[in-house]
Parts: sequence; structure tokens; C-alpha cells
Amino acid sequence: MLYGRRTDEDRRSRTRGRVLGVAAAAVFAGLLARMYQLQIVDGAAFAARADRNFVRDYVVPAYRGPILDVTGTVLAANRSSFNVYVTPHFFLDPQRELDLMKELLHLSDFRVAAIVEELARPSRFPRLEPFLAVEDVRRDEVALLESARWLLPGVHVAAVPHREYPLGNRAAHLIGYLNEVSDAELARDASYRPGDVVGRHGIERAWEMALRGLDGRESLVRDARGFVVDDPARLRRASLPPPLEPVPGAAVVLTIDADLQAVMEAAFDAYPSGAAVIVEAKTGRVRGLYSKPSYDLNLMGGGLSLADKAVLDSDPYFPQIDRTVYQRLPPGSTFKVVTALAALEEGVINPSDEIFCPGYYKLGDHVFRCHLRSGHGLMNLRRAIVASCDTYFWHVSEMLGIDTIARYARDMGLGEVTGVGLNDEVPGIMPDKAWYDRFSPDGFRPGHTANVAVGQGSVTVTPLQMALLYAAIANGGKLMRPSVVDRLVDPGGATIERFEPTVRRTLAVDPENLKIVGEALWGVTHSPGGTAVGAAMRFPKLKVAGKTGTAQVITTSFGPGMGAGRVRVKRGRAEESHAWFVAYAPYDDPQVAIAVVVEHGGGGGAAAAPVAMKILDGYFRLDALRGAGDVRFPLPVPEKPLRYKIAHDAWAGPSAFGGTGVGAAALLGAGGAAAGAEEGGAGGAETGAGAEARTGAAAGSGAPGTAGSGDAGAAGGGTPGEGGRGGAATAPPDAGVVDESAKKLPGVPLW
Amino acid sequence: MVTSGVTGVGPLAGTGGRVAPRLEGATRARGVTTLRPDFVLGGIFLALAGLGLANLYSATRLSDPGMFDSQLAWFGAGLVVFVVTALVDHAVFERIAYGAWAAVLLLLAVTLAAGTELNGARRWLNLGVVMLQPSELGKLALVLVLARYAHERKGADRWSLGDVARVSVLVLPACALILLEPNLGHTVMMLAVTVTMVLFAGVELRALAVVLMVVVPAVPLLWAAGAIQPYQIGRVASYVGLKDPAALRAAFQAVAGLAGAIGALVMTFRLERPQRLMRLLMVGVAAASLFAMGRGAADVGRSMGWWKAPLAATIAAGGPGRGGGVGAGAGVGAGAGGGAVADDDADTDTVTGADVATVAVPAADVAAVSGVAPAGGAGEKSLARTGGYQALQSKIAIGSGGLTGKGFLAATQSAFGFLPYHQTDFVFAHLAEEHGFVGTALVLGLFLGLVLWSLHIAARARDRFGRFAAVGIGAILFWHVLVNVGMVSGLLPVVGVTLPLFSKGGSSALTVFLCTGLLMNVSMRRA
Repeated sequence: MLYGRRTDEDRRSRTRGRVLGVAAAAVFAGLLARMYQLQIVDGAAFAARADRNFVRDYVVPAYRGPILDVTGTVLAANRSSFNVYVTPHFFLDPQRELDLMKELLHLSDFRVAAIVEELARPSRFPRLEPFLAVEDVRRDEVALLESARWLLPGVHVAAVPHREYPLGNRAAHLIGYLNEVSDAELARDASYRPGDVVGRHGIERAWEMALRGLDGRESLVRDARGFVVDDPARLRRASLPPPLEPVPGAAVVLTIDADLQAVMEAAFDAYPSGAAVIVEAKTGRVRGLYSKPSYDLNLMGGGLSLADKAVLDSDPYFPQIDRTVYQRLPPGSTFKVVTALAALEEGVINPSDEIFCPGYYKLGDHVFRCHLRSGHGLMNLRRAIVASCDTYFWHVSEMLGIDTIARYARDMGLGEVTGVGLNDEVPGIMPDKAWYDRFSPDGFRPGHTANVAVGQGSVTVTPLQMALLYAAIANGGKLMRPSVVDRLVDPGGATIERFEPTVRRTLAVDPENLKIVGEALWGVTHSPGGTAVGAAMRFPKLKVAGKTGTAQVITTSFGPGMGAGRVRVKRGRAEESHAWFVAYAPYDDPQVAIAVVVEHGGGGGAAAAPVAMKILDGYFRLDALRGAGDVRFPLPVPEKPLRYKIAHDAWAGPSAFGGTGVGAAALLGAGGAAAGAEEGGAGGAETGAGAEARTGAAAGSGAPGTAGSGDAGAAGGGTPGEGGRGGAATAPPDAGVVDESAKKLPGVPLW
Repeated sequence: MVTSGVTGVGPLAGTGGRVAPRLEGATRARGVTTLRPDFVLGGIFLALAGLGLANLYSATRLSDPGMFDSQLAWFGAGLVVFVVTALVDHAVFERIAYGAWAAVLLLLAVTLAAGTELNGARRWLNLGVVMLQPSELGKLALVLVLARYAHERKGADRWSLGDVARVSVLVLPACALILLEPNLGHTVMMLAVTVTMVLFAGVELRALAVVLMVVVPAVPLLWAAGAIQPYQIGRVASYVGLKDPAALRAAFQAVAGLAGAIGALVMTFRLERPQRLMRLLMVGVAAASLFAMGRGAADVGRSMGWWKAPLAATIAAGGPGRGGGVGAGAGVGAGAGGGAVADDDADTDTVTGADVATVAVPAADVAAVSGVAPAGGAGEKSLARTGGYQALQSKIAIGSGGLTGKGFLAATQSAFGFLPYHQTDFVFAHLAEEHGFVGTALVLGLFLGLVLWSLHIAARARDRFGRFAAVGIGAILFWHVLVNVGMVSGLLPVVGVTLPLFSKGGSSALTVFLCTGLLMNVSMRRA
């Protein structure tokens, strides 16, 4: 009502006002609808987005458990390796700073060029994310870098765990190594993330689950510029989940003895390839597992250079094959004990029955030649084993038939895996009539029986199988399940689980018959004409009973094990027979059984038996040195679970670390010079002890290997063994213990 | 609040004689009027002011606690201004309207010449103690001058072409000065308020047609003349979803051509005295417009595929179909957004250039390094399209509030620096994050109440000046809220427009207090 009276203008205004009002209300309703859409309909999604804006989840890697031998010697552990990171944004004067870095770290021109290239990468934004510039820097270099850190504002050092194998190539096949997880494994197992390492071989692979522990998780808040937020007032807003502590992996304590491994290495000095297995006769615990040639585990952890890889790949002896469980070899005459036991048990012959060996055996129109062409003459069971007469066993096989032999052989563990659970253990082949019918081009023929009876033809075994078979003969018929892991120990030192010996089965053979065969094996090493008498004479105290084998390398052209007997080697040697010696000792109270195979080594008595003798000699010397039973040892693991605190570093500004940058040069920032010095000291002690242990063991094994005389071997085996022990006893507290700096591991981002 | 017994002061004695005859009205003649308090207006206003202060406290507590104190001081001063404005007879405002408008024009010119440059824009005058943004006060002056003009037109049924031309002559120079600062947001606000008031006054269809013919084609012309800043083009292009600003220009050309053609045809058939020559001319204009439209549409078609051209044209015209299937803008995200951050309006008295530069870093940093921003589901393209990083983060802030919000002082988007300008232009997103849908509905409801109440006040106004002033103030509030909330929620392009009573900024606060004071003034003198 303008100026006191109602006019047309009033009415018009009122109408237009209403229209405007309705329009305004409609527009506001639209805005409210938009709010509804954003906040109610899509609210949850946006809330997740808001969280993702600032929350960064980091994996706190678990401490991987160490691997120890039965005496506590560290076979695999973690050391901290120092990586140098460069944050381009703070790298103010690249030329000067690079020169300084080059001088301090002794960088190669190649490395410097790589850093320059990375620094030169164009970016629209300030580059606050550090990149890995130099990997695995030495401690003294870290100290140098630290002393110059005010000159190098863009440079940080972080400690990351690095798997180390202090003994290099010792028992490499058994211990195994780590490698980056593959895409297939990532797809299969969600608990791995790209970049993780996973056990690739040996114990590292077989006991991956026990060793790896459980990774922890920690969340960080990063603001829009990428800086880590540590102001409590802001942090409270993030309401982060509580961090998840990592659970360290268990220590795996093996049954093998690192010093004995050294003895085995030395015993094989003269031969390029072969394998040896030594097991406790009564328990099946594996005390030594040696495959030659070997390789340095420290080269395998992903850092294998192309040159090293080329050397490894071109090696004609295939160093990566674990010959103790993965190589299929014909057992040769060492198999004869199986035929003999089968014949005794089946009653087809009496021990005293004699068979004449004219030097050959005629089957149909085929003539089999005994290894002694002139013939052994009249043979009974004992003499046939002692002299390794083929003819005798050919005749016996004719009485037994191939299926009976195969049945007994399988009962004794041939043709089946032993269950050691390492390196894709193969079962070998124990053929019978059906097998030949199936795989031989001409089907089964009687000659196959003759071949099988003396461990030729298509019979293939692993050294571990043979060692266990002879252990069963020695212990009265108990076929044991081999074990390489004695127990799992938690970081506090308490035993998590101990693995007791288990009997696979009792052989279906009368113990009396075992005694008869055992007596014959004693004859092999001690009766005139025995095939291993020469070797045994040098070590009379060992009281070894065993059987030689000289397995002809015949190329079978059929069957799943086709050509398995032949090791691809330099031309010429491939035709040489494999030399076997399988034995146990002492004869009157069997402690251990051993199987030695020297690939293409020639005669078993000449090549394999001396090797076995040296190993057994070393074993009993070490055994005497250590007394019976377990050896106590300190564990090279932290006393309490590690907490990998992700530190934020002040001096480097936004020192985001690692790929995504967790705060900070843990070492330089938090630890300071004092911590660095301490670590240096510990490191020194570690190297000292380690070196001592290594040289000691090397000397100890070197002596019996080179010296022909038992006395010299005894002296050599004794002292250095002691040295090795001493080293082992003092080393553990330092060796493998992840030092302080490693606790401040930079996390690995989840995504 | 003033009680009903208090009396106001009439026109000043010295000028009363000359002015009174033109201001018809018995009330004025009496020289005394009864003041009736408006509790609704007061209540809504105080509620909004309180909420705005509380929200600003929360938004600035971590980033810059001093800002809240400064704002509190401005609100204190504003309250005094409010009371004075409410009590002074609005005849004073009517009288000073042209003078105020001239002063604003002068200030704007001075600002352009000697203003303080921040973030590439000269919008502030440094008065030593405070930084003044003349374009803020300009809006109130605009309302005054238009109300004064409306009053002078007396009770005309509809404004003619001549009225529109005169108003344009009044308003456009100021718009040009503001556009040159550059400040697209305020330019749009001035035009929007003007249009609202003209529509309220009523306007002849012929005048509308001419406006359509002249104004819409002016946009591509201005563009061609370089009067529109590249960042403004980029921002709108990013909003519409066009990768190439040239395509936007073509789209504008198409729309302008269409508008020109319609205008020309309307003119042809609605001329009161049809003249052959004039008709011929109009048909010619229509043909030329259609040709221009065709060319523009063809360019758009080439640039983004033929089938999308009509849609793009619709969107370019500000049509309702935004968010539709224009898929071309996926790549606009970080690039255009990052650029937009650096250029954007910093509508505050204290913000510094360095401050803005630091905000510019994260945008792409986050996007490029961690891949956060570009990642996401189906809604992502439309998210990234609407003004890049700021709009995206703003929507994340709003959306993450959910129904009831994260709670007072619990917002994360501003705390960790993801929400740029969380104390100024994007303060509403902060509110939405902390108080959720409940909070946004409450605030939007209060603002709508304020707008509707101002229309109500206009209906009850005792004189024409007061009525138009109330409508104009309602329009200022309405457009501010619409453009700001629309921008914050990704409905509209990012242009620097504050949310009254919520955004930090002295000039803005002062203007709001002046406006509502005037509103209260009119209301208290209601019929």
C-alpha cells in the first residue's frame, strides 16, 4: 500500500513479488535437492573420498625370521642396508651437491648420470617426493654423508632390511633365497603386495609362512601439499585407526650343521658336480645336504647382475639344480641291497646258495656282461654284495620277477617322495612290468628285470632316498621321514614347535635278513675283494658299512624320466658312469647314513667312497667336539617385537620417504651421530665374528680334503671346527640383529 | 530493537521543500513516522550472522585464527552500521542515490587505476587501515540508484525501451569497470540484480526483444575484443565440459545467433507502426543471426561431434541440462582447475598472494603424484569437469558431511588444506562438511526466508523507493546465495562470489549489514 492507498501498482507489484518469490523458492528447492544429492545420495562415496584425501596407509614390514643351523650359526638373517634418497625440490645446487655425493659415496659415473637424469625429469610441480638415488651404502659412507648433511639438504638416508646369507654359497640349495613376488603369486595370495619378496627356493620357500611374519599397518595424515601432519590438533580430526603392530616371523632352526656342510664342500673338491646327504640313522634328521655346484645366495636376492646371471645360466653343471632331492639318477649297484632283501624275504635263495658267475649272463639271445668280464666264480649272497657281482643278481632277479623287486623297492621308499618338503622333491622311478608296458616302445621284456635288479634300466633315485633306505637297514627296518627343520623359535627365544622324528613305515623285511645284508655291507668295506676296502682302510675308526655303485649313464629314450640319468656336461665326460657310495656308520651302533654321488665320477669305490669317508670323518669329529644332543645358542633375533616407527624428520623439511614418503631420514634425524657410531661398532663386531667363523670352517674342511692321512685330517678338523664354533657362539648376538636404525623402517605404501 | 513508540526523523529541513513535492505522500508531509520493529527480519538476520560467525570460527581456527577476530570486529562495526541504517529515514538514501552511484563509479575507476593488485586482479583499494572492495558496496549503490529511478518513473506499468536504455547507461559503465578488474562474479551479480529489479518493475516485450538482440550477441563480441579474461573463458569451458575454449566461443556464437534471430523476428511482428524498411532490416538481422548461429553450431559440431552440438549449445546458454552427456571434458580437470586456482577470486581483506600460490600447488600435486583426484568412478568425469580441483574438493567436502555432518570443528577438508578458500568463497562447503544436510538445509532455509521476507517487506512498503530497495536487496541476497552455493556444489562455474554473513571479508560484511539495515529501515516504516 503505497502512500496510504491501494493502487493498481500495488496489485501489480504484489503479483510480481509473488512470482519472484515462487521463483526464488523453486531455485532454493533446487539447491536443496543438490545438497540432498551430494550429501545423502552420494554422501558415503564422498566421505570415502575425503578420507582418501589425507589418509595414507603404510605397511610396516614384519621382521623376517632368521634361518639357523643346529648349532645356532646364522644361515640367513636381516641386516640393515642403507639407501640414499634425494628430494629434487631441496637439491638446490645439483652440480656442487652431486660432486660432493660422488666424492663421499664413491659413485660411479654411471650412477651419477642416472641421478642427473632423474633430477632433470620435468615436472609442473615442486618435486617433494624423494627418489632412491643410491642403494645399499656402506656404514662408513653413511657416516661421511651425515657429516656433510648440512651441505646436502636434499639428501636423506634410510635403513631398509636386507636379507643376508653370511655363509654365501654354503648349503645354498637348502637355504634358498628371496625374490620379488610374481604377478601370478599376487593374484593367488592377497597377503602379498607388489614389491614384496617371497622365498624362492629351499627353506626360504618351504617355510615362507613361518618366516615372513605378519606385516603391520600404520596410517599417516598428509595434507594437500603432501606434508605429513603431526600437529595433534589436526591429527585428532583424522580419527585414524590405531596402528597394527607387525608380528615378526619365527626363526627356523635346521637340523643341518654349517660346519659339516663345509666339510662336505671340501670333500667334493676334486669333482665338479655331485651330491651328498647325511642323515641320522635312527631319526631321519638330515645333518648335511650338499649339492655341487653351488652359488652365492647373496647374489640371488633380486640383485643378480646380468653378468652373474649369465655365468650362472651358462654353467654346464646347472648350479641351480638341487641334486639331493631334484636330480634323478640311476642308483647302480647300491640298489642291489633291495634285490638281496627281496630275495631273502621271498625265500627264493638262501644266503649260502651259490651261483656261478662266468662273467656274463644269458637271457634269451641277449648276453649281459658282468662288470668283471673274467667272471667272479662261485658267489653266495654275501660275496655277491661284497664284490658287487652282477651275474648273481641277474639270476636272482629271474627268480623274483620285476614286480616283486619293485614291490620291495617301493616299500623301502624308492619311487616315492621322502616328504622332506624341499625344492620340488622328485619321487624318482621304480619301474615294474606295467610301467615298462606303458612306457617302453616294445613293452616289457625280461631284460628289463635284469637291468632293474642291479639299479640300472629305468630305475632312478635321489641321494636322499638312498640315504634313508640305508638308514632303515642300519636301524632295524624303520623307514624314517627326513626332517631338515629341528624347530621353530619365536623372537623371545621360546620354542614354538619342535619336530620329532617320525617313522614312515617299518620295512616288510625280517630284521634277521637286514642283519645278513648289513653284514655283507660291512664286507664291502672290510673283506678282501670288497669294492670300498681301499677307501675304508684310510678311516678304520669310522667302522663304515656301505655299498658302492657305478651307475652306467645309459640314455633311456622313453618314460617320464627320459634321459634323467645323464647330466649335461662338457662333451666327453657325459659317458662316464656316476659314482655312488651309500653307507652307514658305525657298523656296530649305526649313527648316521650317508649317500654320496659323484656325477660322472667313474667307479663308486674309487670316486664316491673316499668322499663319503671324508664326510663321515668330519661328522664324527664335529660330533665328538659338540657332545651329544642339542647345542644351546643365543638367537639372533630381537628380544621384543620390533616397532618400526615412522619418524618425521625436521631438518629436511617435508622429508617424505621411500616411494611415497614416510617421514624421514630415520638414521640421520633421530639417531644422530651417537647412534651411528654404536651401529658402526656393532657392525664391526659382526663382521669380525663372521669372518672368523668362515675362515675357521674353511680351514677345517680344507684339511681333510687335501691331506691323505687321517691324523692330519683329525688335527685340521678339530681346531678349525672349534674356531667355527667360537665364531658361531659369539656372532649371533650381533649377526643378523636388526640394529636400532632398522626399526625406523620407512613403510611401504599400500597403494 | 526499536520499540513502536520511537519516532524517526523526517527529511532534513533544508532540502525538504525542494524534494517533497516529487515524493508524493502524506506521511512524509507529516515528517514523523511510527517505527514498528520487524522481529522476523531481525531473528533471521541474527541467526544467520551467528551461524556465519560460528562457521567462520571453525573454518579459520586451524589455518588462521586471527581472521575470526578480524571478522568479529567487522561484524561489530556492521551492527552499528545496521542500527544507524535502520533508524535513518530512507529518504536520505533516496536523496544520495545518484551521488552514491557516482562515487562508486569514481571508486571503481580509481581502483582500476591505483588499486592493490592481488592474484592478478585489481579489486581492492588500500585505505591504509582496511582494504576496501568498491564493487561490493557498488551493489548496494546499484539498488539505491535503480530504486530511485523506479521512483522517478512513478507508477509506470511497464518500462519502455527508453527506460531500459537509460538504466543500461546507468549500470553498464560500472559493469564494464568491474569486468576490467577483472571480476566476473561481481559483474554477473550487478547484471542479475539489475535484471531482477527491471523485471519487477515490468518491461515491454519489445524492450526485452531488443535486449535479447543486443546483449546476447555482445558476449562473443566482447570475447573477440578481448574484454573477457582467458581464465574466465577456461573456467566456463571447463564447467560446460568443453576441452577447447574455441568451441565454447562457437557455442556462444550459435546461441547469440539464435537469440538475435528471435529478437529480430519479434521486432518484425511487434512493431507498432510496421514500416517496410524496418521490417526488411529486421529480416536481414534475423538472417544474419541465423547464419552466425549456423556457423557457430558447425564449429561446435566439428569440435565435439555433431550429435552433441545442440546439447552443448543448450548448456552454453545456461540451460538446465548440465551434467548431461557431454563427455568431452574429461581432460579439463587438473589443467584448467589448476590454472583457475591461481587466478581465482580471493574475496577477503587479508589474503595475500603467497597464500594463494601455496594453494595452487596441491591441486595438481595431489592429482599427479598420488593419483587421487583423477581416480574414481563414473561420477568422476563430471566432477573433474566442473571447475577442476576446487569444485571437486568442495563437492567432496559437502558430500562427506552426509546427513548430520562430521561435527563442529571436525572438518577435515579444510584442516588438511584440501578445500581452497574455505574461509571465503567456499565457506559453505565447510559448513556442509561439519553440519551435513541438516546444516545446509537450515542455512538455505534461513536465506530463503530472508529473500521471501524482503519481498514481503516490499509488498508492505510505504513508498516506491522503499519497495524497490527491498526487492533489490532481496535480489542481492538471492543471487549471492544462488551463485555461491551453486558454485560450491558444482552446479555453476567457479566465479568469486561470497556467501553473505558466512564468507570472510570486510567489504562484503559491511555491505550485507548495510543492505539488511536498509531492509529493516523499510520494514519498520511499513504501511
